[in-house]
Amino acid sequence: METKTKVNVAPSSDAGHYVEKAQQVVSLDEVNETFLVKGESELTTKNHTTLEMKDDCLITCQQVYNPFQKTFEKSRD
Amino acid sequence: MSQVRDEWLGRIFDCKTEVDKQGVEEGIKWLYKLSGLKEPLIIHVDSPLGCQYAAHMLKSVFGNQNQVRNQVRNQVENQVRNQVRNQVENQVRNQVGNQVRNQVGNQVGNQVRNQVWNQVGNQVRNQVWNQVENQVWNQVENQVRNQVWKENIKYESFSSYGNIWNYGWASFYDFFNRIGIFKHDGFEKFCKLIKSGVYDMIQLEGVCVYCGLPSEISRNNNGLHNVEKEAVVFKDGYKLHYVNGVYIKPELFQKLLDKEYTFTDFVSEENEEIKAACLSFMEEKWGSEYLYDFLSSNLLEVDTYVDKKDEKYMEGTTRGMNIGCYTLFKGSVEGIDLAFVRCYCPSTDRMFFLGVDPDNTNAKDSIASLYRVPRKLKDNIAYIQRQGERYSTVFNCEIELTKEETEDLVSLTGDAYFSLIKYEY
Repeated sequence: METKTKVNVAPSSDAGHYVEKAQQVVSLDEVNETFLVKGESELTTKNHTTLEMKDDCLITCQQVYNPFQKTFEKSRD
Repeated sequence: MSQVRDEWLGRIFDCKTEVDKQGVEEGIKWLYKLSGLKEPLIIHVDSPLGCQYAAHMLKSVFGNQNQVRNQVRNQVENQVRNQVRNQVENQVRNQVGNQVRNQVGNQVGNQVRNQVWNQVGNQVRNQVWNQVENQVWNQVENQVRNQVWKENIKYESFSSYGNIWNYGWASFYDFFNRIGIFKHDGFEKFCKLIKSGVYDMIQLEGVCVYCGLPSEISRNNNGLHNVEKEAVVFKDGYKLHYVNGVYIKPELFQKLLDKEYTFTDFVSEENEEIKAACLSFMEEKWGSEYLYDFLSSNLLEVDTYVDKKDEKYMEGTTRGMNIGCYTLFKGSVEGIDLAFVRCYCPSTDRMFFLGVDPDNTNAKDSIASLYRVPRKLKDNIAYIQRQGERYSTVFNCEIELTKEETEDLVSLTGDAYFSLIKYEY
């Protein structure tokens, strides 16, 4: 379990999504890119408005359906 | 303020700034001297990729020169940027604040001081920084890095100080310099260097390789963009395609341009941003009818759901009519069942077609199926927020999960999801 105070919570994304100003960011699942964020923080990225996160939260990644594999997989951007 | 901002932006985006080689050389020699380094051999090339090739060749001929980027960075920060910041802070934060404070009281004095600082920051530094660094420097650097790695050449870090990345902070202090708040010889020399048409440089011990600004740049509101040709062109022919700020490989761009991009290509593309860029390309280049035909030849519209957002949740969005409109499409390609839910980015209004399970029968459940949450916490959700393909979920309980519990993800029904979602960007 890795603990950081500022972290890219979308390592597979070309642009990344960054948690800033958090007390703590904990990586829970590197494959699915699930992170626990403690304290009030902001989520910033290139193509979207900054999201204010006022409470402790769990960051998860969108899952899309791959019709060829017939499985759900992490959305890529 | 707008004049200073526009001058800095125009320097790169007007694509008329020729390299003043003498000015760049004087500036680089000054940078090296400031950093306690011997005068370097200075090589001029015409693109950042050219900088990488030149540095690689020079190293193979002259030996392994060390990077001196950090030394230059430390000295410019200590002897220029921090000193300028202190001078401006003293003047704006203290003197301007004090003058107003003495006349109209503490509260107003503090307000004026902070307003001046924030306004120049927002209207000059942040706008220049965002457009130059985020839209151009970061994008081009990514592609140069990828290209160099692909060719198995060692990637040499570009400079911290001596490139267009510096336009943001330099424009901020340039405003205060022009209104007579401070004078600093080092700052003027540094500005002269980055105003000389230099795009970027690689600073090595004894050698510095630099390149000039692009000869062509095309943009729209989302960043680098051109559906006719390359969006960035350097003088040596290094050029890159972008659609809505998304890099498009030359082969894919040509396919789109030649109308050879097929529905199978679209379905096979794994990157949602690239898929969205391809749809946007077709709509802009060939029109809405072409895009409709492209999609409807393989997909049928099944159901639409509109989530009318409360006004407070529209803050930070485009406020466009597409926000909260979700449509389920179904079809098949090469005997494989397909289902997509169409949605629009609330921050940019870009259109996305996201793959969902063909078992879905309505748009509301389909869009909800993209959200996954650990099964253990499913019944304790306080609210959900979203930024692109990342969800932020707040719970009514402590978040304590084992590895297995973290990986055990489930989706919500459409009703449950839309009762919990707040801000979406």
